Amino acid sequence: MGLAPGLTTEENLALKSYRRPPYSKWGRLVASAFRTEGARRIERYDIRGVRPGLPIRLLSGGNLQKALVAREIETEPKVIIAVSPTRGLDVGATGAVRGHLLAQRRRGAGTLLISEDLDELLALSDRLAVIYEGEIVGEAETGQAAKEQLGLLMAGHRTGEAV
Amino acid sequence: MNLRLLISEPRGLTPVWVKLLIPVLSVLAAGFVAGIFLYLTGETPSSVYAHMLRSAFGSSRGVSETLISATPLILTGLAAAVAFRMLVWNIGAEGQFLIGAIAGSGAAIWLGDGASSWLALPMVVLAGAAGGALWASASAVPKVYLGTNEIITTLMLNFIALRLMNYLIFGSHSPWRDSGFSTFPSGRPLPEGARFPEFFNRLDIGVFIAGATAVGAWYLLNKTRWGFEVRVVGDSESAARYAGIKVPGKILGVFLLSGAFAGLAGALFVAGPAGALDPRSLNLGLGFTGIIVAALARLNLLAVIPVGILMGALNNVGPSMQSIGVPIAAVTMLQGAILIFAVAGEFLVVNRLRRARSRSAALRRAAGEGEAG
Repeated sequence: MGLAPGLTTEENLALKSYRRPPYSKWGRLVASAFRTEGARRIERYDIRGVRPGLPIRLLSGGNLQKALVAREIETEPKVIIAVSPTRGLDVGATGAVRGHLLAQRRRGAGTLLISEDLDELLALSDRLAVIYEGEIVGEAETGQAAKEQLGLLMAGHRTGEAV
Repeated sequence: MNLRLLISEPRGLTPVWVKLLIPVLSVLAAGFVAGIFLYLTGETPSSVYAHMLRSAFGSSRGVSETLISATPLILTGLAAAVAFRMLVWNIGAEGQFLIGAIAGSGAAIWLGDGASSWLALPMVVLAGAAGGALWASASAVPKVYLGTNEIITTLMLNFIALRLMNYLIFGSHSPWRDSGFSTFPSGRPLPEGARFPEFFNRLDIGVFIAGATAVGAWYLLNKTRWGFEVRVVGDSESAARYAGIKVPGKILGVFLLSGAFAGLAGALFVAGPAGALDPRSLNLGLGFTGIIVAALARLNLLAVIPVGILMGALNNVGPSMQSIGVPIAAVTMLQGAILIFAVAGEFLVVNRLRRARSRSAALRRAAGEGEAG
């Protein structure tokens, strides 16, 4: 899942940016940068249960996911591909992750959300496409009224076919 | 009735004092169990242990001999610990140690009698480390690029290295062999310039080189960018690839570094206490004992130093035990017991125990609460 389970949260948060200052200078790691940058992101992304030296695998699933989102978003990517980003998370963590994804959309990042959670797709998406047996079979509106149409597409009916 | 009196659960973050206390208790527990056997064979355990302590640390000669024995164990322990941390199962420290000894003594003999120590000693040390790394590369390169199993290849290369050394001394008139004695083959003594000067009984600076190497390796792994990448690869290869770390290069680097540490041990040994490529003093399983040192040190690169000294002391007191009529096997047994207790103690480092509440008490309490509600 892109995390090194035995390393600390701070180290995992730096996994994409450790090569450059402030994290490393002249091939040496700067411990204070890991601490301060880590603390900043832990605070901003509300990652709970972190203690100094604690391996990240001992955090709960929701906090792991928040840590993962925190690391990816901090690099300000142009494109985000999120696959079932809230599966198995509690309500609070789900809300936080969805909020971050929406914030990225507002920032201008193109976000491809792949999920089997219909409510999530309807709540977050601007456009929806349905894949059936490996093929995009049609696009749908995102209003609540589109649920029936979505259901048909998911069952394999092509757009325009008689029901 | 509930027979489970103790429940174990993961500790999460293990406090430092637990990490330090449990290995110490493991050694004490091993001493207790070995003491039972000593008692059964008619010895007085306390006086045997007192004799061991005295002969290992009680005199300047004892301390110097202990540190001499510890030097190669610190380095072979380091070789194993560095590799095992990365899940590289290099069990070839034995062979890499012998090749380091061959390369180090070869460099010394090639430079000859005229070379000054300032040239000869660095050359011997570098040749030893390079030899060990080269021997490791014979396993490392196929592992990284072809996916061969390094456990098999490093183990087998140990035997080839041993045969090579025996060939150089017993089977041929190689430059390593002392041409003076043809009936009883032995290694050619190294030129004076390629010997570490002794300054404390027989002790030379090899032990400090070994200690400094351990500190350097710890720094490299924990405080540098390269070390960070190595730790990520050792923890999760998929996370490392995701972070853009070139995994094969890191595994290769660690493998060669591990071999270089074992080779360095061999070079320090021939330029120090052995003074020649001497098969009788080199073929003592010092590379295999390094694996035990690494396990006892819980793969901590700094803990390798005290553990190496402990194992060096135990290796050394054997002969002096025999002088008071205790079989040398008692020491071997003590070493084995220490390893078993250390491995078992590892469970308590990771997990903690607490008393289980008995089921009947829990039921009674639940019933009481029910009545109250």
